[in-house]
Amino acid sequence: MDHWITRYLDGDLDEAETARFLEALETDSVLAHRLLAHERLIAAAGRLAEATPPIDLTPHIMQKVRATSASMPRRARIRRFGVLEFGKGLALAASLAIVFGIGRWSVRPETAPGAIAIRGDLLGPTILPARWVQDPAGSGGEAESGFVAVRLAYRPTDSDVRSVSVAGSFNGWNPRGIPLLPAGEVWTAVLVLPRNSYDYVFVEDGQRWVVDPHAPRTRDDGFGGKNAVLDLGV
Amino acid sequence: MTESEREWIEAVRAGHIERFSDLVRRHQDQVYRVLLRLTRDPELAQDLTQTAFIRAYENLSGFRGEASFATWVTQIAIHLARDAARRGANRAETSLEALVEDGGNAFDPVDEGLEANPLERLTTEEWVDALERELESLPEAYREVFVMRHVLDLDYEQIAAITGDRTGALKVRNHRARKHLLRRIAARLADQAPSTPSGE
Repeated sequence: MDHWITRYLDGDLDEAETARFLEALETDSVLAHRLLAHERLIAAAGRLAEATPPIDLTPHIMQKVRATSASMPRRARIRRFGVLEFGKGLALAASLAIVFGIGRWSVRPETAPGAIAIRGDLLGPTILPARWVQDPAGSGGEAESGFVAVRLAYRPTDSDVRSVSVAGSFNGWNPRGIPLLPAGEVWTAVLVLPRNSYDYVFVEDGQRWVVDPHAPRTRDDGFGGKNAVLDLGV
Repeated sequence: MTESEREWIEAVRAGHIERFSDLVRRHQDQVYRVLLRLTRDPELAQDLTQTAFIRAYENLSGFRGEASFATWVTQIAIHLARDAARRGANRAETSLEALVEDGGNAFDPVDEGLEANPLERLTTEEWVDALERELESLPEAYREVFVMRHVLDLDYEQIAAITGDRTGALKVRNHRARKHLLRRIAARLADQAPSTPSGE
């Protein structure tokens, strides 16, 4: 009897079962009384939802949030993202790596093909030499600008994976934002980012979130899981 | 998660801290209600609501958006309520084992043959009062699912996203919670009117 009440209340009865159950209620007063007891309890629970927080709760929370923010370590603010255009000499490198950067900073066209020389079995994040980061404005400046080039390399455990991308705090956790390109079994991308600490995960086939198994560090995502951590010289 | 929430979160991450107030306003009622029903202490519920949103703010850079912000901040709130309970102030009186043992047919608020069940004589206000009183007799795992399902009106998939449990297990737990509450309420009625059959 309880089984039927539970399934009815949970909406788990199909149409025919519902009809039989409602029919039974007409003749079985015990069943009807029990169902009524459950329904009145549920209705009472709904009334408990009418409790409202104090009217000044939002300002109080925001006051504490502001105080918390002021006490947190200062972080570089990331305001603008974009996929950089590949330089002329990057055509070959592009077959191995997607380059992602912020604003005008990019990987030097004349040195980036060297990316091919990176060992394919070197998995996880690899910070690239400062000379690889250039200012296209022509200053000739290097990474002292505060930007860092990092190569991410990932080998999926399932060889049937058709796409890999990286989502992280640097791109709003967009699972399709930065694709990695395959070279054999290893998928890679090069990111140019401001010096900071970022959380990231790889996303397989647009839906499976995988923590980089070769990340030197992970941290709680506040949701019962982990994120890989990319420490870029903070 | 709505598009506007994504935009708010991005704005906060980009340093526009005041946009966080939009997230607070949208979700504070749910967070406060779940905490109020789990802690049964308005002042503590208010404190923990503040803490839940501050935790959310501190961890916003790690929030992936796989689940909604509401799910995430409610999960934080549930953890805070559990921590508060473990500190001793709100420990449930009934053991988990007692409810599991009651999983069979031990509860029967309806005495067969009775035309007027005592539970049916309760007014709506009396039901609400009785439920508020008896909620604390539920172990926290049962109280959580009951509150989320029937007070917050979340569906089992949403609750599963918050607790990490399977929906089937949540349904069983919720059913046992309801039976336990009905039995407690019926028993109290029987104590108040000894001459009235309680159906136990």
